[in-house]
Amino acid sequence: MVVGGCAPAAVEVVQVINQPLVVEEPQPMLTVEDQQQPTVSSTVDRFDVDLDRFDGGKMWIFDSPPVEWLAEEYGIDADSAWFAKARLGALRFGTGCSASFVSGQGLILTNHHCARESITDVSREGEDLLENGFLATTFMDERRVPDLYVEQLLEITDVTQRVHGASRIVRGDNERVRARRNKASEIADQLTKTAMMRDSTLRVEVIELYSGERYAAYTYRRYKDVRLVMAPEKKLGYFGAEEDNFTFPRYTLDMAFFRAYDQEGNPVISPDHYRWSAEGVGPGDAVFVVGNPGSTSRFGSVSQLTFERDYKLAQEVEALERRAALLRTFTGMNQPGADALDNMWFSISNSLKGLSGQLKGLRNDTLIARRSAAEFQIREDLFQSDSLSMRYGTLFQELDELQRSKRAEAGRLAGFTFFGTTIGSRIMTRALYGYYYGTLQRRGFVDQNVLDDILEDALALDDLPVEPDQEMIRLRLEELQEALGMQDPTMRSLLGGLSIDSLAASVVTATALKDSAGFALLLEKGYLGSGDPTVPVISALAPLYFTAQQQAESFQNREDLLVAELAALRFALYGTDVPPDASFSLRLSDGRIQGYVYNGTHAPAFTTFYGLYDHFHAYRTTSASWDLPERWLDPPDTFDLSTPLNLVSTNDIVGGNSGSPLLNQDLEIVGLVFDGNIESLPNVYVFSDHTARAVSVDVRAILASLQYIYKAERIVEEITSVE
Amino acid sequence: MKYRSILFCGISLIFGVHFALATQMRPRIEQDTVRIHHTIDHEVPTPSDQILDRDWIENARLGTLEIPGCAAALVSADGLAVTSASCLRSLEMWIRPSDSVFVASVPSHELQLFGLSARQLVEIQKLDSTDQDSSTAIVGMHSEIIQLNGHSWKYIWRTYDDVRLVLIPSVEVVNFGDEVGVYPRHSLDFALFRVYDQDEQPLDTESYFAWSDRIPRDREKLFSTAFLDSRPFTDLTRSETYPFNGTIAPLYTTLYGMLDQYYSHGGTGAWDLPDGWIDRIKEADLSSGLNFSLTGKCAQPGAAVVDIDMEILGIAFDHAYPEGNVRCVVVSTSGISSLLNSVLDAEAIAEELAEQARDGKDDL
Repeated sequence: MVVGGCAPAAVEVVQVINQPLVVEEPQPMLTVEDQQQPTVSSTVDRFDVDLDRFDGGKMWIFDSPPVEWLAEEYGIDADSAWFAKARLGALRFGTGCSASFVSGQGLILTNHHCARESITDVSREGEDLLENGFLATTFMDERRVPDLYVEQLLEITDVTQRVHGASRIVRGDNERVRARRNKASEIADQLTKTAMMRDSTLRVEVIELYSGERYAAYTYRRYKDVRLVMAPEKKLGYFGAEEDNFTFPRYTLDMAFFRAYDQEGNPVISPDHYRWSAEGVGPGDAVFVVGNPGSTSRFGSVSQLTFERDYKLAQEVEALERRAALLRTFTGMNQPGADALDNMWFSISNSLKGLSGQLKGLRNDTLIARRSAAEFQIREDLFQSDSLSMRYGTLFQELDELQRSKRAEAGRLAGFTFFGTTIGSRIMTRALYGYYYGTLQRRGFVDQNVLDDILEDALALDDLPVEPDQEMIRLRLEELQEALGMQDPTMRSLLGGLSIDSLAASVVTATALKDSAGFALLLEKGYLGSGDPTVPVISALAPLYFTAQQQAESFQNREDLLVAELAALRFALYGTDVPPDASFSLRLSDGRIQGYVYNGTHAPAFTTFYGLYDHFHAYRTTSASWDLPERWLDPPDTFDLSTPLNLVSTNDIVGGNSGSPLLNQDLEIVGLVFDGNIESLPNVYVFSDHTARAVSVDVRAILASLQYIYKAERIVEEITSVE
Repeated sequence: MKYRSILFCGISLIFGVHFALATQMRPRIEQDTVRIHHTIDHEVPTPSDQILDRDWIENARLGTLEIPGCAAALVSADGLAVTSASCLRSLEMWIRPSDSVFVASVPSHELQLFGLSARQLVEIQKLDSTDQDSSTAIVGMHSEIIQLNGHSWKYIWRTYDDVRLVLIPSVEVVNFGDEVGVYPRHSLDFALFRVYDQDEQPLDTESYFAWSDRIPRDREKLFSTAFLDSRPFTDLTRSETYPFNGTIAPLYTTLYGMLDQYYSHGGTGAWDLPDGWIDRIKEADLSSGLNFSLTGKCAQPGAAVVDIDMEILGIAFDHAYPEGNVRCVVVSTSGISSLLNSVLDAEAIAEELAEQARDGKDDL
């Protein structure tokens, strides 16, 4: 989970191979002694925990707005006009973020980390806008971002009957799911065509809710001309860098402004924008996040969770820890490839932070106990109904059995954790590309586009220094030997009597895959027949890897199906009382501004610019992550350093919520969501607002910076003018 | 820096001492006993032997004072000493200073803390088995015989009964945030007192630590001198960052951070500041260090934290326990200096500290 770019750096998996040879994510292993039944926590009994109504989260859909809940909890009389206003000001930004209209002239606010690519894309020769920031002083100076679009949700129509109608006569669970998805896609195309005849900017998506128990057609207006208006320096937008990712107290100005233009090239008229709150919010105030959260793991079975805890996550964390320990000895190298090494280091440490936080949550007995209690409740309710018992009576058992099968197979996969990704040896990853490319060619694969894509990806890998690469190979071979066993024939023939150290050393010494240029030459003349010392190594390992991946994929398909059934069961029992899991479509989440207990003291609900300067000075001798650019070093006296900078609230957010507006009950914008705190990582499994918090930039900080540091009078005037 | 060797201790020893402290006199740091392992034996190598010589050790010992349950350190040739404010505030009622700020702008305003005495270990003698303790009683001096490692050791102490309060910040800033056991921290937990001799004159001493306005460097080796300088060996410590709250802890906090805390918490409750502070503190260099942390336990509350040049960089006042580890939390002399010259209205004291530090360096 995570908020957009601040994600636990979802390990970047190189798309080495297309189906059916590979699935996206390697699966972890298990050892024989690990092959035990999933157990419910022994120290916290499921009966000791209170089920919370919102364990599944608070990502409300606009199709079934939480009118009663808002009245009960906040005394808000939210009518359809309120929800329409909340919906229309919000935007889906690009392919992974959220945003909002903050003026009547199409001005858009989102996060700096969502805007990074755009900022780089509009940089001209000799400019480094990501580093130095950007400010358009007139409309003319605003720079169009190639391929960027934003979408506004105009209309929602329930199409469940139409979709389900198509699948009613289909036999077989798999087939029924496929039939529904095909129908949904067909309806979306049809509705889009009709809508576009009315207005060419409209698009229709059919959204699957409750794993296919509900379908809704969402009509979006797509703005395809989006221009960069303002971005602070990266040092502000990413103040605290990777170190501060997922943390609070925080002092980051993670903001950027864009503007939507119409087809005639004029700024769009956006009456449905959020007004800028001059006063901001205070502790205890009700706040609402409107954005597009991705997805969570809150609705699976307990056996899935324990598998995740004991195998998948545990293996991934262990693999990352080993790589982190290995790389630690090479950081600070000053030689070619050191940048790639640093990037890998950050990628590993950030993944480690995110995944360890999730694992810690799963190892917390209370979390599993809560999920167990919820599951127990479903089982109880299920057996109240004969028809449901008939249909779903064995569902949990099937999920448990599937996890058992996964555990039994996990050993074969363990040594391949993060294999073929950018986390690890470049030489081995290149070898895997080479093997795949060569194999496809030998099999007479003719789609040149696919081959070209593979080639492009393969050659895009940056070079690592040789020593850490060799160490990575050594580590991989050790892990494989540990997973497969000393007597494994593949390993024995691979090593041929050599020690792992010697094999790694001899491969690295003689291979041409140390750099991209050498790799390109080898690919050209045919990698598999090249005699490169990596060829026998990868020829032994790749078939094992692909077989294991196929197995993992088949497990995944089965699991998807069972989880969909579980969602159907929940829906049959509880209907829309429980919001469906997030689906990167528009949701509203309610909460309050609230600090929390941390580090033996209280984290305040707000931080200030004084804290920004505190961090700048406090870390200046240890890290560059809290550096400030020149213009921030001597702020004018008019700049009030006690202005709130970041704030925390109890709203339910996950990845995709980055850039979401934080609104007060009058639907004025009071903050800009950009991250969750470290305590929020386990929220991917159970929603909790005990210490988990959403972290936002306070609008007062945005305004003060625009006014006193960036002298962006034009934007200040635009967002503060009352229409 | 020039030091006067009061008594030369030319013997080698390893010893341990137990202090039983009256519970009610204990400051915040829990320490029922202090076990000190001290090697002054130049024939027994220790890591710090490589960087500390015998003069260093002896002068650090003479610059260090013991008050009930705590350590203190001399910081001027005129008997001015620094400790943790919590040490003084945890004393018996009749000694304890009031909760409000106290600043003696001239020596005549200094406030005697009746009942409080400070002592200094002036000599350690190894006794032969045949030796009898033949010393005659001297006013203000007393000795103790300690058995250790099959030998008898004689500690000779000088006690000062005239101790006068020079400066103590108000309890709000000493306990800012009420954050016991926490780092990062923003507490101004220090106090200054002056030791007077039997003639009611400020103690004339050549052994003192030069006041420094700098903050520690990353991974700098520092020494915590509590009672008898006895911990420069097992007490070799470091100022460094550590994993904390998903990020890394700051090497030190600053006065900016104190204001951030004040405004973040709405300036109420434990995060309120005394009247006038908000306006006056902005006269100070807000980037001055306020607190920092050290690896391991504090030698003692009130212990001076000094660098290799015997300059004092801070005063230990609490422990923090991040992720199962223990760290010593220290108030930085850098922030104290900045505040002496601004919100504390103690320019004369600041000048004394600065001047004495210069003199000490000149002598050196």
